[in-house]
Amino acid sequence: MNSILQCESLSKKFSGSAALSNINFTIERGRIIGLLGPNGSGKTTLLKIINGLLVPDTGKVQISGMEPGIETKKIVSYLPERTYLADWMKVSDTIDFFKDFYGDFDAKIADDMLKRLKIDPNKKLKTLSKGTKEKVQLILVMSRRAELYCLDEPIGGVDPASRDYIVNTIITNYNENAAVLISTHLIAEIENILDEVIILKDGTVILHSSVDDIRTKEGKSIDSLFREVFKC
Amino acid sequence: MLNKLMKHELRATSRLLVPLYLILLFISIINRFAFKLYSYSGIVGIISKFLIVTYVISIFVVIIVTVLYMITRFYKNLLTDEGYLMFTLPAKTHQLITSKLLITLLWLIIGIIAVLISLLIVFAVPDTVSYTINEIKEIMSILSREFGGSWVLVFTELIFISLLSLVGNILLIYVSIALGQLFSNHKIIGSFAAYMIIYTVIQFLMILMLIPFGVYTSKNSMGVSSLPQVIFPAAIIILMLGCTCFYLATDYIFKRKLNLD
Repeated sequence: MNSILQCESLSKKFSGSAALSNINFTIERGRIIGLLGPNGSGKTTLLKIINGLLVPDTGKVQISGMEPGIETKKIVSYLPERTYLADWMKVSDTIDFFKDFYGDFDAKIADDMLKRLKIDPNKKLKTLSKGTKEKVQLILVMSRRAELYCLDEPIGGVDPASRDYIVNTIITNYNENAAVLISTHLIAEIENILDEVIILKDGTVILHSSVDDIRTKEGKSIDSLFREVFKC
Repeated sequence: MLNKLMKHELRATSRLLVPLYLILLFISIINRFAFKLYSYSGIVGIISKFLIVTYVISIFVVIIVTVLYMITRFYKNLLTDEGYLMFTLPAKTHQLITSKLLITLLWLIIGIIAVLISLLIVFAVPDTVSYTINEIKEIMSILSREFGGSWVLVFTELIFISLLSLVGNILLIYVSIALGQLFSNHKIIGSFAAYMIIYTVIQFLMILMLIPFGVYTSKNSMGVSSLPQVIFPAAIIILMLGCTCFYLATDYIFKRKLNLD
């Protein structure tokens, strides 16, 4: 049982047009995987299916051998591209909320990260900037000792100085039992921490390979490979 | 899990509703004095009449705001961006629905109690209190005269019917919102349309059911004693059926057809 995530011939249509068609891949524990692709290639749809927010038309997803449901939600930590926290809450309220609902949430990690990023836990989310709110969400998500982290554009709205810290948190906070699936456009920023990449195009997987293989075979970085494949 | 969901639902909603009820009670205290000045002429009388009108409006506002706030909360918390958090909690969808339903019921009951207390504050003097108590006694005696020993049954059935219609109405709104979110655009208009359609269909079904009933009662005279034996139980069963359908439909849509933007 080493694979944490398995997708088998997944397909999903939205009002006639295919958002995902016949997706197959397996992710092993202990890996950091970049989920790459241009806008509208199906990254968010895929993450929503893994998190049970969408039901696929055909095919199945298994997380640690289970279909998305209450048991998988206990072990999957999901960062959507949305601000999903109610803005009347204080930062400390959101920590209480996570502590209450997720058995694997470690409040100490969260407190440390808040201090490190100089975020005042007594502030209301309403009063924080968009970037700071994103940081709070990422802190909450990464403070869980989950088995699979699904991060949808985790660094998109965050300033470059904090990006390094966040990217660092991602690598230091997960253990070898867990896997991290990161969807992003900012490939160059996170290329160094990725073990594998999955590239999506028009709802299909066009490449799933280890980063080392790409570098030795193609002799180029993921960033330049991506720019070549999706050249306009 | 249901307890935790309810705890957080209560925490989130008490922010607005507790101050609302406190304001109502505060207005009531002011009006107790304003009411005494009611018969005065001139500016004092005008101000006191103005205050009484404001008070009557505020009673309606309290109940309407409670209902609207809880419905908006249901929509916002589950079907906008906040839904990404709520639907990825390790909770079953029916627990999400139940927690919202129970807390809405709780606030409505608290709201009604607040209104009653407020009426007491404004109007209660020894005379009115004893008058009200006498009235209640009178109603009780009429009930027991009409229904014999079964007035307790009538009373329980009526409470059940009121609670079930309340629950049914809330669930009808939930299922309409759930149906509305199936549309990619115009989710809110979709919800209103769904509500209208379901409401009309139910009215239509009720009329269809009343026709055979009318025919039956015109041939066989039914005494008032048939209320607790036949009509109220039938109403309870129909309401329960309706509630179950709405609840299961909402749960199914959220489980299989969730469509968060």
